[in-house]
Amino acid sequence: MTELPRPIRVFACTAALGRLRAPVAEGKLALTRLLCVGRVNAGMILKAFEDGAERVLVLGCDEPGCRHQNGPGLAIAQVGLAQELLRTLGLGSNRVNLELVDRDGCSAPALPAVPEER
Amino acid sequence: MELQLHSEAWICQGCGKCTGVCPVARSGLGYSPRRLLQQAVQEGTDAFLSDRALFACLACDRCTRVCKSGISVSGIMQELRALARERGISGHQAHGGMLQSLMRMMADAKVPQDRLRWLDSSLRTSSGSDTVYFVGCAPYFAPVFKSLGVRPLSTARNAIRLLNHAGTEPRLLPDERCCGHDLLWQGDVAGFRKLAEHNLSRLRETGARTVVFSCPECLRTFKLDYPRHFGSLGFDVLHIAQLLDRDGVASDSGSLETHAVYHDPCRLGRHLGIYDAPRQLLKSIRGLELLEMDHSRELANCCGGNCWTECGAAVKSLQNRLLDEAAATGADRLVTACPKCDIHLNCAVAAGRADTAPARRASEAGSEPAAAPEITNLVDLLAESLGIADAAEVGDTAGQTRKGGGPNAE
Repeated sequence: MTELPRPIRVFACTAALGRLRAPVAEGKLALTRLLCVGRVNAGMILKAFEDGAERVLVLGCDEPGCRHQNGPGLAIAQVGLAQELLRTLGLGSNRVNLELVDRDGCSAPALPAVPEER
Repeated sequence: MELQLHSEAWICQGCGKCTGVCPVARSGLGYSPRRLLQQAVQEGTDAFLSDRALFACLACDRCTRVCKSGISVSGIMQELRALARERGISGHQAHGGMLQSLMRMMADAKVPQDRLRWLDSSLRTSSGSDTVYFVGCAPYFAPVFKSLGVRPLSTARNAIRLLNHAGTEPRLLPDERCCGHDLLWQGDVAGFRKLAEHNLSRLRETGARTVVFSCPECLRTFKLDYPRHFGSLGFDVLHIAQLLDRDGVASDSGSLETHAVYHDPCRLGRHLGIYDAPRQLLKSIRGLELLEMDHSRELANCCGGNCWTECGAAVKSLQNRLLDEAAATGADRLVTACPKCDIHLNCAVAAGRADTAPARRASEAGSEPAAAPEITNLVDLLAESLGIADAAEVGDTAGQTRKGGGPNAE
């Protein structure tokens, strides 16, 4: 996380990453690939905000699709914790989105909106 | 500025008492206060600035209490870690660095915290009061350590109930920040100063005459570190046990049938010399028999807290030693006056104590090991004895329902 701050930081499971039809190269997204979304923790999410992110998207496979048993469950817990801490910091819990997708499906996950002024 | 290390290391007589009582030295991590002082004299500071053992010291101050030359190794640690940090060296952060991120984010003056959601109408506070209750990081600890069963926000609510019971309606600061204790002891002096300046300016604006703390780390930082960096505070600082003891809450205290053993938190005991006020309050509870561990007061064990860094097997072993000593007294409550001791000791209990020495001896003898007593914050126990303890978990569970995943110590 040493590069210039970009408005959206994405933590994505490699298996679910194929579903992210997003302008990664456009400069709005900073992408961190994870082997499984269960690797994400609240510390990583908070560090992203500390480093200047406006929004964080955590992207993983849905429960039946996870190749690592309980990745989505762990991610739900950690994203929930990060949301609660961000709420107490006064930054708002809606700055973190968790998208659990069917990795073999065809709908693209929603990207969080970035404020215009950025 | 001359380093404290340089002025103090030369008066070391090399007796080794410091290393003898150091809970980290006996864990075999390679840290030894005597070696640190002798190396400083012989080789200068460079030798250990890159040594990870520098971050193993818990600043528990047991060494300082036995040192015949009065050397403060913890004071030296503060400055050495600041030097190490300038070179980009720091301790390993537990919990994915989450707590350090929170502290540094709070240092940003623009962060518009919403940290008082846990207050409810039964708690009497007053914006005109000249007594401020400094809550500390409980609103952040509550969700992070929920899986351990600790309830730091209940402790905060109980603290207000006790103050109300003593006839005080405290003022609370909606924009209070972390006191900076952990950043300072990790060498982040700039981060500490930002937090401290913010807290001091807010508190001075209120015209507060007394600031009350339920966290010994906050109290130590206000009482010893803020004046060193910013001069006189302009208000009195007290631990809630001191205020309740002074104001005579003890005289109409409650009752609770229990055997309790009191654990002296490092910051409250050795750092600030407050040993008696908590014990006086406990003794005043009818039906409560106060027991003492083999190591108490100046030689009390440490809970292993190290600013959320360097958590590991060594820390677990000294936590288990403390729990074993407490269990050996036969107490059913282990009372501490520090929210971090509460968290750390509950973490050791949650991690399981099957591999501790007494547990192994008991298992070889074919019996069950003595169960660790229930860990209770002094504030919660006092409120319980008066029948005013917090029952609800308002705010503790605000937000998301979490499933799975512990506090994620790594």
